[in-house]
Amino acid sequence: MTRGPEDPRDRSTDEPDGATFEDRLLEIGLEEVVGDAAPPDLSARILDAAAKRQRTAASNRDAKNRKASIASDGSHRVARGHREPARVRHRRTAILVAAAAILATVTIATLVLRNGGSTIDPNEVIADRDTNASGTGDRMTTDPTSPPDPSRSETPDSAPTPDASPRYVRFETPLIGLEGNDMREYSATTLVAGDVLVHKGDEPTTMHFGDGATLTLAPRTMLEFTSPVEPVSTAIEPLRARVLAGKIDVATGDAERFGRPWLLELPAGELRVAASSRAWILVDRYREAESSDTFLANLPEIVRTTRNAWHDTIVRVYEGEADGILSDVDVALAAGEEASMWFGRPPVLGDMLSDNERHTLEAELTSIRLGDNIPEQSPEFYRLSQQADRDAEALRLRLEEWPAAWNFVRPKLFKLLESPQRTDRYRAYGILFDDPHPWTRGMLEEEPDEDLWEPDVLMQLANRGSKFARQRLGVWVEARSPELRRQVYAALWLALRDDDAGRRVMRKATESKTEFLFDSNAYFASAAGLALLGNPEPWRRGIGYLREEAERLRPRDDAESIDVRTLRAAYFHRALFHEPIELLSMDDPVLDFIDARRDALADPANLESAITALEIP
Amino acid sequence: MKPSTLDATVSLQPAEFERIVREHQSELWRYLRYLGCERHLVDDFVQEAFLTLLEKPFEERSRAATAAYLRLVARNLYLMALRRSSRAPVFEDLEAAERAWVRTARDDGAETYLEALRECFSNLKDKAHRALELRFAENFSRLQIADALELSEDGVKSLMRRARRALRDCVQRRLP
Repeated sequence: MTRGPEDPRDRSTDEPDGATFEDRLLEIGLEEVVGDAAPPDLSARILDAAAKRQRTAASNRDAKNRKASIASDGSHRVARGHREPARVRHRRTAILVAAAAILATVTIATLVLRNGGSTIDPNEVIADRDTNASGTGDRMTTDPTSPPDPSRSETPDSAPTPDASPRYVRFETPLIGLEGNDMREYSATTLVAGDVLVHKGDEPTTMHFGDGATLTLAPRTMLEFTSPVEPVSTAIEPLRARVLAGKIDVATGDAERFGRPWLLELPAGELRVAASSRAWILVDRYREAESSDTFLANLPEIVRTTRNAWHDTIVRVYEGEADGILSDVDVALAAGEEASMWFGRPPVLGDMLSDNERHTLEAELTSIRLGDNIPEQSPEFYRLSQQADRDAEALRLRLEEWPAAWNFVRPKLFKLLESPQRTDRYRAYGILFDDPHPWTRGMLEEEPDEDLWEPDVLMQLANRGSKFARQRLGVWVEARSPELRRQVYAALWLALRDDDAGRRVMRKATESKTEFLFDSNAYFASAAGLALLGNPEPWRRGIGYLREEAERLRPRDDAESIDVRTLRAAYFHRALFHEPIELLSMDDPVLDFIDARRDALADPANLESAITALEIP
Repeated sequence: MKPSTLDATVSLQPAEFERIVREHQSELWRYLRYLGCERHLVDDFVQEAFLTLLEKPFEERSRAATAAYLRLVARNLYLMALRRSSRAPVFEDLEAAERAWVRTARDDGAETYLEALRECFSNLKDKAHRALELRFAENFSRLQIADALELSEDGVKSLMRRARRALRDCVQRRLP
């Protein structure tokens, strides 16, 4: 998983729970209205790129009838028309010298192919590219038969010179492939994202790049470059390449020295069925379709008709599992997942279930969410929430017994993660963490919703046997300088299981008034935990302090939050110690909520969740 | 709808192309940000979306149709980039996201919406106004805002939530 450069405004930490379209619009609007982040005027840049693109297109048209092969020794062969080789020796032009120097000894049998899925014939050379396919920006294609454009480095859109930014070199470097003794025609072209390289020879071969990096490709290796193309972007992004088939080694090149390592995204732990090829088939079909609905309706047929093409390029690298041929069902499921990721819908997968099975799953999915019409503090919410928890558990068990249903349920659960109801999201997380598919785990762990990292969520997950959650809690409690609240909750969970480190951290958290001021939720969780373990003093002290604090803040804007927390703490105190304490008089729905839960709070079996109720949602 | 709905073997003249760029670039930029596209990539996608107008037959039927076509292209470019980096889009239901955008941005590239938001923001109460300023203009974290306004972090969270809700309601009322 990758993320772009940090921009604090790219991901607001203050977005409301379950951001909706309107929330997102508001966020973007505020960036512009308040943050002065209005859209830049890109006219000049776009017009400049358009001019370059048209020049390149004209150049390509000229080159169409004169496709050149350039050997590593600098010889230049011209083929007139397809498969009509006619050797014509040319003196090296200045640019060929430069190209040869950059490429050094290109001894590979490599074809630069358009990233076009099953339509790719490794024996066919496609000179042009689908512009939508290849990524972003001006592609800066370089024709080595013509002198370099000196104005390029002076344009605002150009990247720095290779010396100044070696990362950029590769995108200006023409990659010229030779196919062993069988000299075929090639278009000298610039390597861009989306290109797929296929090494067809029987011996390992080495690719050399202008900045000194070399890659050794095993026979029949297929490599897809995934970096952005736009020079501006490449200046900040490392080159990425994904191995679709075969094997590749970084042999030499001291890539780190150049500051932009080759980043080979081996799809270990993921099922990637020649991902870009499949994706492209789907995208092409999508474009041809009348609408999304038509596309989805036809997807089973698309899978059937393209199955063989996919089958031929399937590489399964799944947690160390050897490459192998997948079954038809695997192919269909993978295609469905691909389409689901691309178009946000669960397509083929539903077709693999019977109507009854689908209806059953739909009903269970519906029952685990409460929607956003029930006040969170109401007794009705509490009652329905308990029922939904039971239904979620039932669904989880069903999925254990019936893994195929994951493909139907998964997209809906991911959708549920956007629910405004926090409890809905908890349930979805709880279930998704059991998903055996590594893609899901990767999404949840590497691109987490902020709420996923809330300690009480992890405690719940850990209670349900999530190894990930338990591991994360263990990390937090041992961390040297973590966020206090996370550390305390981790400590609480562990201390209730007789963990000495957990108790130590909780005691420490209640000894410092500074820390209490910094994070009172953490203090109270810690104090309540110690009370449960036989040391109620920090708890009593905290209740007193909180009451004073609430009185002091009452006239201020955030007094409401303090009051709610005080009430919750107070009722919890009453349930725990059966001692009434003096409360702020306040007419608040939270009173009903707490009253409704009093019995539950008094039950030792529920104490842990009761402590988490001290958190202000 | 697929791009072929605009099929007509008409090549854009440079002047027309420039006009379309100037007319639609802001909306396209905002739309990509709305979809969740990172700031540092938006410019690239906007540029590439416009360049497709030169590479495929294109007929300008109406401003709305052109805007819809550009959004579709930009969206696909963004989705492809997401796919390459194994990330999922912010919105799972992209069709619904599109409908919400059209509903709000209308036919003026969201200018009316932004104007309403500007007015509503200026009418926000002092503390909420200041909190949003610190957040969006100064890039303050919640903790920093809490320090600056002498509130707790929870207080800031509540304050921001209320402010956003107020802004949403206010904008809703002002939009015709």
